[in-house]
Amino acid sequence: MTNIRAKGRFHIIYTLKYIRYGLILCLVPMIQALFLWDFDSLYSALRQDAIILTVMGVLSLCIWNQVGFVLTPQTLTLRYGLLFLKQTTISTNEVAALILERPLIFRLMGCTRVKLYATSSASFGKAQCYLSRRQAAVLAECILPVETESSFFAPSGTERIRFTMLSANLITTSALVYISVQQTEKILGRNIFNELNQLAISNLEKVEQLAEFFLPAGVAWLFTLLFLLWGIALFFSLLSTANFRVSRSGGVILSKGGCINHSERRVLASAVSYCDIRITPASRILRRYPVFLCAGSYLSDFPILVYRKGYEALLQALMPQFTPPKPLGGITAERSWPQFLWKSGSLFLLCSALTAVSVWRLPNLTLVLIIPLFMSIVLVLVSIEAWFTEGICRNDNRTLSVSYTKLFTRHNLCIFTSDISFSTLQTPFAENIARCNFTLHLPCRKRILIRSIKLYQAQRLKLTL
Amino acid sequence: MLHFSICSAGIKITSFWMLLFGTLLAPFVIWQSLFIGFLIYAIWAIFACVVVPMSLHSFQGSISLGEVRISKGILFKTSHRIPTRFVTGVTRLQTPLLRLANCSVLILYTSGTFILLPGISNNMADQIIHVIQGGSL
Repeated sequence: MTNIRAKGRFHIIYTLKYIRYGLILCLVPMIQALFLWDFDSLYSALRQDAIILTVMGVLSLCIWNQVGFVLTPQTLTLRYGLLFLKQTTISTNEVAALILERPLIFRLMGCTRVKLYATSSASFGKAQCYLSRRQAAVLAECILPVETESSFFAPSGTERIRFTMLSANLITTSALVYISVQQTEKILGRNIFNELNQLAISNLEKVEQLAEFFLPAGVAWLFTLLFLLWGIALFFSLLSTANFRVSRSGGVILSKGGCINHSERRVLASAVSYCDIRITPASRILRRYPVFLCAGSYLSDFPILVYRKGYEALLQALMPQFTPPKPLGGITAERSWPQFLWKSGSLFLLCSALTAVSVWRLPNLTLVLIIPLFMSIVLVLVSIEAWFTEGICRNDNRTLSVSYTKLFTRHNLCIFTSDISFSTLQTPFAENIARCNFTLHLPCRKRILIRSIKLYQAQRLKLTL
Repeated sequence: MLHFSICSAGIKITSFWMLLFGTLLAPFVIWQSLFIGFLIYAIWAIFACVVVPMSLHSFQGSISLGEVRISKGILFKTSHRIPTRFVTGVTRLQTPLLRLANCSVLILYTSGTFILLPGISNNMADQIIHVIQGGSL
């Protein structure tokens, strides 16, 4: 007889996933009626909304009635769907990471979102379910149990500020910038841009006058926006890093924290594919480098701790095989400069040309153009550093050390897994100097490109341990 | 060590499929412009009948010391290395044409990537599958 640890339906909050689609359908006719100030239409829209919401409510309840989970010591079975039923059976041995997320609304409802990641992307990959707090705790304890929570890393004081700054999610900021631009475009209307284009074509002087009129406000707006976005990112980072703790119990690395939105990440230490020390411009200034983990198909979006030169013991306590980053550039003779500098160099030349033209013709525009010029100079410097440091080598403890650069960030990877594969590409120019581009394929389906390394080095690199 | 390459029948079939693909799409381009359409088709035909066979002739593979090594390419040379113990699956495809020519297409899957081996002779495909599944060389 199968020993069932826990079983049941998903939390009722799961139905919100379907009801929200109905809400979008409801809002459109209501807004149309409100804009026209037509109360008859509004009344009929409300009746229509009531029907839509009732149908969606019934549908989502029917779906909720079907979905559920069964947990045994060896397997977790998840059931989804209404007409077309889908059943996913996950072996508990195959789980590399388990994330418990409790945003504010979930906490009020007593719900936890559970995300499971497989040790290999060839397996189930990723699965998600919504359980009650107690059921989620049972599931987590059964799959990745934590016995003691002796804290390895708990940032406080200035360390906390540094950690918060390093965790400020640049992706969120970029997305916000994109949304802001879209919104501005919508508010101003496309005609303004067309008119500006026509003005630019017909008469440069008019553009100059327009620029003179608008630019002081434009620069102020730009700086305000940048600081506002940075502030928002820092605020959310501050909330998510509140009470942040990292510990290791048995074979499980546990990190949890958060002020309003609670989250708990359990990662199986033996399934950790690599740890990534990211050297960003902010971390260079602070001399603290955020460390991200990857375990099987789980790619961490949040740093697990902050690395500092000379303090490897902390990381080695979490991952005993960790090897500190070291220079990997190797022989740099005949290494291709254009390959490293063509992107950043082109951007630098473009920005320089624009700034030079602005100094000559539009002095008011120079202030705005100095910002991208400065960014492109930083990008060129990072590319030059990449030329010296990018490389790969096998360590004495049979792990792999990799260094590569993407935009402003240098990634120093320590790869623990042997479930990797290599590929190389040689262009005729690279063949002439016996170099190649080396690509590393990782279990999370991530590809890492290391540019212009020696061919013999790539061929001699041991694949199996 | 087990060496393998693409057999001549496999190369011919691959070229045939490439040519057929171009021939099926060509009328859409020729419809737009007769000259440009025929020019593009001629370039495609040269690619399918000359470049693809040359590229497939350069294909060389081997299985040894727990890894599969594949290299190919004329101007742009590529090579792949995957560990045999992390090959999670092998798919063998046979179309009627491939069956007539005693050939197979093999796809080797690992957790991070996959490798396509087009036009491998059936005997060689059997040996590759045997070795990858843990058999002796």
